[in-house]
Amino acid sequence: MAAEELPPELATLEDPDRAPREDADRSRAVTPKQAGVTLAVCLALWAMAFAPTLERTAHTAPSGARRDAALAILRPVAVISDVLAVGDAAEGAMRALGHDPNGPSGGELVIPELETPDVSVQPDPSSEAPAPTTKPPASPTTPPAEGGRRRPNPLVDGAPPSDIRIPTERDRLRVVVVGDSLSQGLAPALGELFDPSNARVLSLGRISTGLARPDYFNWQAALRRIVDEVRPDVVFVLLGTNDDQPIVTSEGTVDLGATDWTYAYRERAAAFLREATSAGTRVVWVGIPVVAERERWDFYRRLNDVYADTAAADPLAAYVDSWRLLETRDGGYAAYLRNERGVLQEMRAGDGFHFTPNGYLYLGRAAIRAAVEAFSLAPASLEFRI
Amino acid sequence: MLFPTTDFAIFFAIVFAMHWVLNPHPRARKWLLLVSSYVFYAWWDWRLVWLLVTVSAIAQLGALWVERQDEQAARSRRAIVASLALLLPLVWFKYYGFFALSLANAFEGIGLSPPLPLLQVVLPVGISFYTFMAISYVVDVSRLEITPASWLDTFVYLAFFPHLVAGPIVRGEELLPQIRRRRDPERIDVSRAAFLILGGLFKKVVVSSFLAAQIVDPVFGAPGAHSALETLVAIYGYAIVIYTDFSGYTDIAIGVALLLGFEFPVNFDRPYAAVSLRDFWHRWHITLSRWLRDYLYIPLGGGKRGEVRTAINVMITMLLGGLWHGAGWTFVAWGGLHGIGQVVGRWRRCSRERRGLPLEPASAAAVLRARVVTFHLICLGWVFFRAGSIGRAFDVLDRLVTGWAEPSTLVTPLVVAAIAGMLLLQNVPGTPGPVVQRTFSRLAPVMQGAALAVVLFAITTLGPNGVAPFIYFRF
Repeated sequence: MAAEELPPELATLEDPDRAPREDADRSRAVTPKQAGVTLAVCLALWAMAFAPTLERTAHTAPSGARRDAALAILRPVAVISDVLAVGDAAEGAMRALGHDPNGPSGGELVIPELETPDVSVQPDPSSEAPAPTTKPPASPTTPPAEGGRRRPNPLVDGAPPSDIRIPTERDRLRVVVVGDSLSQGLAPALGELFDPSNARVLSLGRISTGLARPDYFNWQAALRRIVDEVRPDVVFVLLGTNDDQPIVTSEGTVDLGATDWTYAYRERAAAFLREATSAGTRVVWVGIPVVAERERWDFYRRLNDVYADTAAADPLAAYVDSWRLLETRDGGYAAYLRNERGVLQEMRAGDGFHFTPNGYLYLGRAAIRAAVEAFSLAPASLEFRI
Repeated sequence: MLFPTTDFAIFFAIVFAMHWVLNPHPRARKWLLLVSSYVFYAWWDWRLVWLLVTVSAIAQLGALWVERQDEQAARSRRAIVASLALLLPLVWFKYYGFFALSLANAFEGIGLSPPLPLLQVVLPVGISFYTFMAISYVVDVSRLEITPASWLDTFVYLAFFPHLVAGPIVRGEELLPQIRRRRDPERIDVSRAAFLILGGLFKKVVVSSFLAAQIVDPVFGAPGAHSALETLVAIYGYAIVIYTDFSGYTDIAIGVALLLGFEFPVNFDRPYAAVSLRDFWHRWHITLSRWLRDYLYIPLGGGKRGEVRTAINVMITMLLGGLWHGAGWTFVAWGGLHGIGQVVGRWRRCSRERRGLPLEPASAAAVLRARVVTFHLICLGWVFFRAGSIGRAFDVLDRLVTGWAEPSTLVTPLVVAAIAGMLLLQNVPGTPGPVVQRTFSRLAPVMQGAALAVVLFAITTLGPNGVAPFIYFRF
């Protein structure tokens, strides 16, 4: 078709003015052998540069043939990399690019900078909210937490757990969402549900993480950093779907089928929760929702029992039974559910695990209701009606 | 299988070696391409392969059925029937859930039970792309532009892994001859391929991932929680994210095909240097744009039936083009905005033509002004494209008006630099790319490999842990 016959509204390749630009100097063409050498050298050098990192990542991958094959390939590559000192050079370059080569395989936790509350500003006398305060420094009488740090702990100090403070625009509520990819979907929904002028929601979830593999990503250590740096008022937790694997501990590995796996997991969950609540932070632990794959139900229900028991043992924690919230009347999985107003909505994503934005909002509202009931979370913090 | 993964690197290394070994044996080479393409597709879900086989079979049967008819009108009718058959799987997978849910809520509103079962149909990766290619194949046969290929060639044409999941939408006349003939073993343009692949990786792994994580996803996820400045920068950021994500994928696809000796059409040409929405569609997703022109706009009558009919045809084309991206009112709004913009632009051009005024911006200042206005119109469309719902889109736009008193912690110098840098690259002529590419091409293969390894190392280090799927996979 000639260019002049073409309608002007839509694109045309035939229009000489619009033809894709050809490189004026066509690059030198090579044979497959030469191209193969180029590609092989590129991939080999790249693999050697990343061999230590790749090997470490392979070690933290779930057990199986894929992991074994990866390790079988990477071990000799890592040895060659070591002999040729390519790995050392690469580590130096990685540091120069601002990347920690020895960081966790699951990536490093990046906590955004938060605005500090302006404590010098006089409180509004017309407001019923208390004057904005920063958290007091740890009392010298407070027992040191793990790692030798001291933290204020209302329970240890004998004070009853208080309600979540009423936020102000000068000192907004600090809400943190942690966990796996499900938590990364929940966080924006919570961001919508909290009033942004009174609450700041931080999404600090990491994909493919859980409590079983601290060698991949250590949530307990991450939570310690979060508590220290962010001092959250409330932490929402949603994880566990990646934990169907051996638990790695400092003493070794507890296999998934072992009788003491649940015991070890329970210990891990309790330690994780202690890390948050030891500084007085409230925790809303959202259980694993019902998923499409029935083969996973027994295991996930077992984990939910652990989370529910763990939360029940700590007055600063509340548990949300998202399984019941999202199952059908006959106890099954459904992608389409009615929201609080009775409107049918597509709540679940096509993978049978994750949620649609509407689904995350539905889950988020349930999680916030739990915080309101357990910790008298002030309605002023919220954009929506309970 | 995603391009920026070690899985793909290993897969491609094997396919590359085997392809060139089998190059002198056309039939074996085609079977290799077919099997490797199905493996590539099955990496997501092996059950999806049957769908690809079915669509390929319908396309081939349709083409043979169309060819048997000598009369042009009858050929066209048969092509329409075959195209509708090809559209059925796309409609089912892409639109059934949306349709059934909308009906259910409408019926419940008047006290009736839902007329259709609510099934969640998972959208197979790439179905929109290979369905469009299949339709173009059948229609081109009906128009006598090509003759039906062999069964094996047709199956390879539709399944060829570099274009399979997100284009470019390659036409039969472009790819089928390349599949038929053995590839020239003396002409692998490795320099251009390497620049396309690494450039695409940089755009996707570094730029797109960075901007998406730093500002776009947080702001579009919770617009009410962010300031006006953050919202504005997030909108600009999304314009860069979707460009770097999609053009990055296409660049890698074209580069990978080049290494196997295949030439794909260009899909992007500095879209944010456009001086009008019409110009934008000459530069953005060019292969979809020409598909819509050749298989929808022109069959509707194109621009030959008067101003009003032309405007209607443009609107229908752009609205359906929007719906091609997904079942949602946001995509209709996006397509509608572009349609209205093009209709208004066309009337303006006609008006200027009648008054004897230049149709294109004449001065540098006028070009700059036109680019800025066009870019902001495109960004307005992207708000609807990204928002997820019409309400959310208006929430985002509302923040541009109401949120100026709040702090903007997400607007960091690096975010601004990334957006400005990518926009500058599109608007400033004379980038050093060709010179660097020419210099690179003069290096020995070992040195080329070492240089590429350094760039690949930097991209991998600067990128995040794990790479999100490409945006256009879901379309």
